[in-house]
Amino acid sequence: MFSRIKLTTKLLCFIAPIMVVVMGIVFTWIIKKEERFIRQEITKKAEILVQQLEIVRQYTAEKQDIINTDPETGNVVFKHLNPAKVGAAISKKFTESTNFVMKQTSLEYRNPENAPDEFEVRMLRQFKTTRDIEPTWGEDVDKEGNKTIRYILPLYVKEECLPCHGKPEYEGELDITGYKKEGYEIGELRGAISIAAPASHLDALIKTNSVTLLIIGVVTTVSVIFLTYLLIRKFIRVPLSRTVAAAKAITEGDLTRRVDTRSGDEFGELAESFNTMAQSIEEKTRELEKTTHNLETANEKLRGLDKVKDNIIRDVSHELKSPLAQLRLALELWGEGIKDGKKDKDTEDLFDGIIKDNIIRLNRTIESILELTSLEFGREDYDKESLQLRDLVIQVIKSSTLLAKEKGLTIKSVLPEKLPNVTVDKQGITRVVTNLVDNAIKYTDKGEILVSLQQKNSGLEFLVKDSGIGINIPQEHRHKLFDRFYQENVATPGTGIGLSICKTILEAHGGRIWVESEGKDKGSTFRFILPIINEKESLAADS
Amino acid sequence: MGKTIMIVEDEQAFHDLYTMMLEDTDYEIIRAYDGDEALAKLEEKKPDLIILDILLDLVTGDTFFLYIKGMPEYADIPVIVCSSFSEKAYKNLKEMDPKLVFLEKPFTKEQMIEQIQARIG
Repeated sequence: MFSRIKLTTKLLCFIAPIMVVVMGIVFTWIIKKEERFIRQEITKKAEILVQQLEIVRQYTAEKQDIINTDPETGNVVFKHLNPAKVGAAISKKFTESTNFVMKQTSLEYRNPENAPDEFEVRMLRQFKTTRDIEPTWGEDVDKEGNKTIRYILPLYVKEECLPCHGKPEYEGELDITGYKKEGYEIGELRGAISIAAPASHLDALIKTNSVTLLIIGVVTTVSVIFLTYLLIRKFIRVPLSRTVAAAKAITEGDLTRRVDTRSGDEFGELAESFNTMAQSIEEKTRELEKTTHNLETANEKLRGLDKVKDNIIRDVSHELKSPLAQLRLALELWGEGIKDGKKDKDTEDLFDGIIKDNIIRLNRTIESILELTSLEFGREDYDKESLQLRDLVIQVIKSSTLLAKEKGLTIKSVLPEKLPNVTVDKQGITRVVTNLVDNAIKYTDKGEILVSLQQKNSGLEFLVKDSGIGINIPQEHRHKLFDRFYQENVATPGTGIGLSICKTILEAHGGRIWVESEGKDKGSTFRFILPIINEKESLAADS
Repeated sequence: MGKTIMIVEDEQAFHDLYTMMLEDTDYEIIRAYDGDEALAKLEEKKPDLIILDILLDLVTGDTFFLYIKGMPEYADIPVIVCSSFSEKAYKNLKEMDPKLVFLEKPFTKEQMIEQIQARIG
């Protein structure tokens, strides 16, 4: 659950309570410290006051002789200026003129004004038991219910106190002031100087300061949280979001996406690492795409070859089985005719024709298969000789004229004399020329076929142009016509190896073959070029 | 008048041989040299049987077959396919018409007559 919360919220969830707790501790500590400080101040004042009064009392006690002796007569007359009286008078005056209450008190008080209150009784009893000479302080409330700080200094009996208050054996005697002596020993508790300092302003001050501190605390906490939020946003969330966005973009296919790496901090390092990774992914993906593409192409080729293979098998079986079927039927029917004694010249001629044609057809198919096999294994041997290509072409035209005439076609030839010799395998090139001329006849139903020869730079160019069915495939795929087993149309008769054989033979002679056509039913022009080289060069090249 | 057989075959020699084979019967023969021509001739007269070659120019035999089997008025015409290939090569045709007969080349006159008679008597 918590892990799903956003980083900013998470950090703020940690920082906010910590801030509140820290501010609370600081706040309490300051208030307490301040309170203690103020209390110490008040206590210090009280201490000084008490010390002053004690000194005055001591001084008065020490000077009793002088105070009470009449300088003129030398008689001792009590002047009512003993430590108790002076102390009481000063205390009274002080109490009247300040908001402090100062008094002298005792469990065995002589003046009723010095009667101890509850706090003083408790402290006096404590001093009496402990004989602690150090002053002590505490908190109390006055009659009006206001808070006060109480300070009390114990007074123990000293030598100079004895004339009025001691010794035990004089207990009950009247002293110079007219009171009965208590019969104290030196060191016994006589009483204490008590101060009640108002502390109600302390609460008010603490309250005011607390509010101020609270405001400062809240403002600081809110500021820190807000600042933290801004810092997280600027230094963590924004760069992190950029990286996340880039990662998403890459996942969605934008492999060129990168993260800004200007920052030098950890996020800068992260961005750099991320970019390196993205670069690597991009390169690997491109490689993979390339490999996939190559594989697809190879696969496509293989599929094509597979189809070609199927077509070849189909064509070959058709080319073998069709003539076989005709031969079988013809022989069967002829046999029947002979058995039945039927003799008809036309029927016999028909059977004769069918049988002869099909034997030729079968022979041609078998030759093609053999040729194909020998080319396939590169076993074709070329027996090269220097000859006039013109003579060879004329020979081919002669043997094809009959075929052309049967279809009502004419073969026109443009064959200049005095062309240079070419060094070629006569049988091979004859096969090429025959194939091209026969194809022209095969795919043309009317019109004429043009055969020409001409010199082109260092080569001889042969051309056969027909007005036949033309080529119905785009320019860029026409080279496929010369691929082994390629057939433009599945219904086209033949094994589709003729042009491939032509190409193989011409390339073995350093020549090349290509085709031109303006499209379907617009005729085709097949051209090949053979280099003009003398026999020596040719033999050298072959070796 | 006898029944009509349409022969769809691109080779003239086959036409001549089929005609000779059937000359002693009273079947009327309609010749077609490709699928296109066969379709045109179907419209002129509906035959009782079709002897069909597969490798034809333009509209091939299998296309022609699928076409007529899709036409209610011709779908019931029995067909004998004469091909260089066995029945296995044309599974789709057999699926279309389970009654389709394949006669693999080379076949005898007897085989052909037997198949014709089995279909149209």
